[in-house]
Amino acid sequence: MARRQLKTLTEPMYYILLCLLNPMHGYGIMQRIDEITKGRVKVGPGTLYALISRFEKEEIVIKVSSENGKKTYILTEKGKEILNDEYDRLNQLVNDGAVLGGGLDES
Amino acid sequence: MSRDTKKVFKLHSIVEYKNLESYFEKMALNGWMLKGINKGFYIFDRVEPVALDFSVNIFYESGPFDFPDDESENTLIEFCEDSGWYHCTGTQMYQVFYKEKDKDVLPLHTEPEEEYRYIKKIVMKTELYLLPLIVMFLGMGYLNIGLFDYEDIFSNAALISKIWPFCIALLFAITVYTPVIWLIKNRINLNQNKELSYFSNGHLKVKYTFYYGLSGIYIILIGMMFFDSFSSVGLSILPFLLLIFLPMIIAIILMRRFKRVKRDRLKNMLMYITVSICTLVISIAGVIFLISSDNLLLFNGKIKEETVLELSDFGDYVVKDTHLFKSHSVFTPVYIEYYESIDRENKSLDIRNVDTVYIKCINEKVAKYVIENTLEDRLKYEDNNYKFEEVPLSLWSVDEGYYLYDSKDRLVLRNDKTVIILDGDMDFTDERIISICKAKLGIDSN
Repeated sequence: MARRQLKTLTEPMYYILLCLLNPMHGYGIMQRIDEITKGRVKVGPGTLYALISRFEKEEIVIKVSSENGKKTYILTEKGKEILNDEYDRLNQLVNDGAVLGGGLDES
Repeated sequence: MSRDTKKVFKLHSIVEYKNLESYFEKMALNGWMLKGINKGFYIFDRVEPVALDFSVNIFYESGPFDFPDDESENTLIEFCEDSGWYHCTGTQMYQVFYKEKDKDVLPLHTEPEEEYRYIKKIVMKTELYLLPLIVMFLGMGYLNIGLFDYEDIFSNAALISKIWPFCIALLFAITVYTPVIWLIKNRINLNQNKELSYFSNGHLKVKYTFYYGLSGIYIILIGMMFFDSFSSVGLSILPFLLLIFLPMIIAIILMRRFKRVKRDRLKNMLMYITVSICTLVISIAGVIFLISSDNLLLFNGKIKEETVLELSDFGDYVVKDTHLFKSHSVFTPVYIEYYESIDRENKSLDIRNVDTVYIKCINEKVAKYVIENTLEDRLKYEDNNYKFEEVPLSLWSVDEGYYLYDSKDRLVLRNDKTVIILDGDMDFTDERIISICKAKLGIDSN
């Protein structure tokens, strides 16, 4: 059920999972997303909390440590699988788009 | 409560949380900083007026049957504080953060779809259960109206008992319409890639003015019901009221103590359901006992009113039983039912009981309605061709009057807006009896 719900990730979901390939705490995730997307995608703390708690429940991410009051998270195998699937899907979209783009160029 | 602290009661639906933000901001500007939230009460501390931005973050990891989830709460607070927000206070459902007005920090919510999903989850768990209840109360209301009897107009309690399901349904409808509209409207907005929209402060002001006004009216109605039902019994009602309300008070104390210990959701739910059912059963038993108790609702004693017949009006009788029932309503400001009887074994006396129903209506139209329905009620026990014999109007000095039985020992009279029903072991055609009745009931003076 959870897998089906997350078949297509939203942009904030995708970037959070991307960040959590390595252990990272909440504020670090927000900053990293800002850096990767050059400020295009913003994930507020409320949204981040909502998504992280949802991912935790669905065992997509786990808490690895809680030092100095900062909780650090990382992707589980299931999470990596979802991220890979999404990456493949996005690649497929780009490839499909390229074919169509070529066709358009010819015309 | 000191002058430096202010407590404000405020009801709201979770979909109205944006309005709470503007409310807290306005209070801070007026020198009142939110300090805590406790069961609908917002506690403010006196501060120097300050311009702040508030943000309410929906937080609902634990439901009403769960032990408060402090760890999740701390995680949320950590994320928000790291982003530059200050934690203010919170409930089991949301947390309140604030920042200085000119401080540039990321808003708490940046993903409308996720915000919508969270709010929908809360609404489904905490507010939408009212929808089936509205249908249930409407059904009960229609059933109640169907069972309406003309005698219900004699007491406010009976009248209110007919309409209370509609009152509850209306209150629930006012409560639940904002979350329902919010969910539908914002689902459409999100499908059209639009931002979430919220109710305006003006809209909610009207909603809650209406809500509180209606609640006030209901409290008055409940007061009228109690006053009407129990005015003849006075303070002797108190032990019975305790019987009804004590189980509820004990249940609330028990539940609060129970929630302090960490248990799983199922055990908490079972405990809540068991305590609620026990409370309901004991309270309903109390109400039934209260209503069915003759000693309570029917006052045994002599009436001082001049508007009812007594056996002593007809001779030297030793009264054994008396029953008095008084009530009033918006349609009948005075309703008195008084009965006296002698020892039933004493068959040597011609009159053994006398019963008076004295009804003062608000106008002649209501009085005619009472007469009409009294006759109709009586007709249920006669064949369709039965004709009521009219009392000699000039002799009785009334506007209208009928003997209800051929034996002429029961009759109904109407003079202007007063209706009197008399019943007894006597012949109400007898001029001596008529004269006594008129004098006692003050019919001549009307």
